[in-house]
Amino acid sequence: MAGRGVQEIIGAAEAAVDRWRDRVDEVEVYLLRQTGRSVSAERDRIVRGSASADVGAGVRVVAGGRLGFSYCTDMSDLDAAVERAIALAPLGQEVDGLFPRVRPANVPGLRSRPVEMMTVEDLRDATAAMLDRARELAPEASVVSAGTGASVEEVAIANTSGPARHFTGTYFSVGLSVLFRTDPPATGFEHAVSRSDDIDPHLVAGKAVEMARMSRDPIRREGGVPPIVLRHDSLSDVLEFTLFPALVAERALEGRSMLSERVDDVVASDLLTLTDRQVMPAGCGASPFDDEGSRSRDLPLIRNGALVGYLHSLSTAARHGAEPTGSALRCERWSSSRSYRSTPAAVARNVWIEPTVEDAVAEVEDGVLVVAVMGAHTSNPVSGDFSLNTNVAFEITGGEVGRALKPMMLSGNVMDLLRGVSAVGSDLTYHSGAMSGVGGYIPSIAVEGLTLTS
Amino acid sequence: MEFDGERAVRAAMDAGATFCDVRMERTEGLTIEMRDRTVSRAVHGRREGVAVRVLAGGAWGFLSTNVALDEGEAVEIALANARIVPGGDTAIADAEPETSDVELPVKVAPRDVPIDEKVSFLADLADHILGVMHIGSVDITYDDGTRDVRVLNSEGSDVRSRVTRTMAQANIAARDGSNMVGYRFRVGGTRGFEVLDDAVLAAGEVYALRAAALLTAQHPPSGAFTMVTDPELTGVFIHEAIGHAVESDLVATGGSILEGRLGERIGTEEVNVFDDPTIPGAFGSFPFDDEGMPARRKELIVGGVLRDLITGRETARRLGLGANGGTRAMDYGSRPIVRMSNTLMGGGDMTLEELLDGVRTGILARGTRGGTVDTEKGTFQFSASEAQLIERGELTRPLRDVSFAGDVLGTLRLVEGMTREVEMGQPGFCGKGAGPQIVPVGDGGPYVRFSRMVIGGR
Repeated sequence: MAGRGVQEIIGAAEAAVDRWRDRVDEVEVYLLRQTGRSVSAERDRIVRGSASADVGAGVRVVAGGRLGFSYCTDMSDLDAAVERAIALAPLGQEVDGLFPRVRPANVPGLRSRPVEMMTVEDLRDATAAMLDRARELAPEASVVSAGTGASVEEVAIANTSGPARHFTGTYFSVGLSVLFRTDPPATGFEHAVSRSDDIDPHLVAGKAVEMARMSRDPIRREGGVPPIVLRHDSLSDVLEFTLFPALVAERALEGRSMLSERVDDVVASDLLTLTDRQVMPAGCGASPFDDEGSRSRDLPLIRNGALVGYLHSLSTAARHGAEPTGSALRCERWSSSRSYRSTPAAVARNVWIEPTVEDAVAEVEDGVLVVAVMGAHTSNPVSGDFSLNTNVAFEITGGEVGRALKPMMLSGNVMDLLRGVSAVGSDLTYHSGAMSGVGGYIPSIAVEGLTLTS
Repeated sequence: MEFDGERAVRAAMDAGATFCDVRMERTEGLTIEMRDRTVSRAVHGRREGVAVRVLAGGAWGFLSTNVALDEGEAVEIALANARIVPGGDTAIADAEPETSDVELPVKVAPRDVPIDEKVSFLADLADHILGVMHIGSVDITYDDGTRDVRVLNSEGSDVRSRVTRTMAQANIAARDGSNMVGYRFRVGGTRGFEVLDDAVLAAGEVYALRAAALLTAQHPPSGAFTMVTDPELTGVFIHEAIGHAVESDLVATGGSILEGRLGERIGTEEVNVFDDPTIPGAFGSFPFDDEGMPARRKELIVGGVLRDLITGRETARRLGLGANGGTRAMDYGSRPIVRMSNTLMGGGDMTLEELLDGVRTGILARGTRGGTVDTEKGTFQFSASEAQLIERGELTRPLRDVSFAGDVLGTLRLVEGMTREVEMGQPGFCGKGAGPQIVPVGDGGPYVRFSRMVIGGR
């Protein structure tokens, strides 16, 4: 991809910071360059190759003791962006000495040369391999959609507290959705993302086909309150809209979270230990520093069921006299990817939930495995109540997965869910948020006390 | 950024493309966020970029960039992306070339309103909401923005359109001790700052009262009940349950339960559903789609029969239909895909009293906290902002956290009646595809009674 090199762009940002250094209290330029290639297949055929390159700058200034923000995509517009941020500053939050000297932590494995070097031809071959594998395993099924993508993300922060620092990360993603035209239709899907090229497209295709095959001929199950295993997919969805927002200091310290004033309290089963592993080697949500320059770290959030603390950005930390927690990410509303267009906000970005057993399903004698839910975003983030449709679910008999079940409503409250955890599986799988910057390695869990309605 | 679209289109055709379009886009907007009466964030941004799409060898090649790039190089990359596809058979439906330069009209351009005036209005709105007992806090988000798009293609189209949208949203939190509830309301449209008038301040108070009332509401019973939806919720139901399933890209790839059902009865006779991007001022309106085709109303379900799909040029060709200007792209970084605009259900011949009269035990559900659909399986889920129990035709206990689920093919057959009056619901945002691509939409309809809906209680 043509365009200016990242060092040149960082140079432009540093120069802008220097130009404005003496005219305002503080300046910060956040640079983000994202380049990517992808290949898509629809209805069993490869149909499209794509490439993208996007660069932009988010500018924050502290002027007259207040914080202003603007963004631009044209680096020659940086001075105008600073001026726009200054113009907005009188409306902004009062701050003092906000931007830290950027001190990166050492996080190996974020950047993969093989992913950087992937061409659209490589991605086509990986996509074709998935299609071939799906066809081989289930000639009667149809691949509705499939795709592979390779992207490179470069993040740099230049501010008035020290020299500009930057890091580069890569992502390789593979996904496939398959359909058996039975009555009702049976669907299966699998998606995997990694910092490196260690995803086997054949395995992804195999898992999707297996899910679809198992989903055929669903039976109706009576409602009730059976033991339930939430597979990592569905647990990730539920937590994104309930627990993870509740851990954000801005909500919790201002009385808008069910975890407000609960630090050190037992809020979950003692089997639950949850850490934001911001420096996890090759972690998809890990980075040397967060999106406003705070050093990344391993941040305990829930330890053996007790709430340890909340997630802070620089501004919430300053407002509440706390330390920043390396949790700031810049994401647009309803988006899970980084954006220069947004101001930083604290999120749980590389969650890790400690396993307690090998296989959560094996811990349940008679119950229900919920693989996918619909409508998690309609959960009530204030109360933690949720009421969702189980889109892919199976019965569990004698600790093993059995017949597919027709959709049911799954309802409860996330606090009851956390208290009801009876086992945490070892199948931790990375999921990024569906509509926010949260992300993490989520296991399947066995839980008691949730209601199913059929 | 400098980019000569005409030169790029010529270069693509000279290099052997069968079709090329170039979309050049510039957006500028302001966001203000307030916590209670205090601004917590204000953002002013500008963004511009270009998307090049070529059809070559029966496959699409796509490139998006905001990095200065020579037109020839951009086309070369897009073509290389198309040429990786072996034996492609993608083609597009015919369309008349369009030449136009149009701007959706606004009364008060947001850029002409001083930011202090905007903040002052939002603070007034916060005052109206916070003045209601038990309201603990309110988060207000204000957005205005103008999207300026030019689409050029190799068939001679050259369409430029400018659309301004203005929106405000309030997330109201009511609290009584440890009992907390949330309620969201939005106003907005393809309009200017005139969207925010005194009626919005009054509405803020009304919604705050509703939020406070939820504190004493009970969780609904679980099970299957007769359900009446208000126009807001009807709109979301139609959007989720029908609108997505009639998006022709999903139909063409086998991803919709409505594949092969054109001409088939899927609802009772009084069910009419349409998608209309030409409704003046509605949040999902636009004059041209992102393939440069004129926007137009689509009659999707007529008298209970599935009559049309929302199409783009590729899917129209694949399905043997006409292209009806139904593609949208979130921004220059996204390719145009088939999307809804303003999706509504037509009215019936009853009054609300008549609808409620026939109900022995049921639920009247109002407003929405969102919904979702699995178009492959044909299942949907959606949530109401508030609800009331109906007992022997009378509205009784207030209910909270009411969610419903059902199946696309069965539910429209469960429509027992609807009111005459059709209302637009509040502005919405719809996500679809990788990313996902989020676009502004509108929806609405009448009050509708369904004979049976599964409700998840607690």
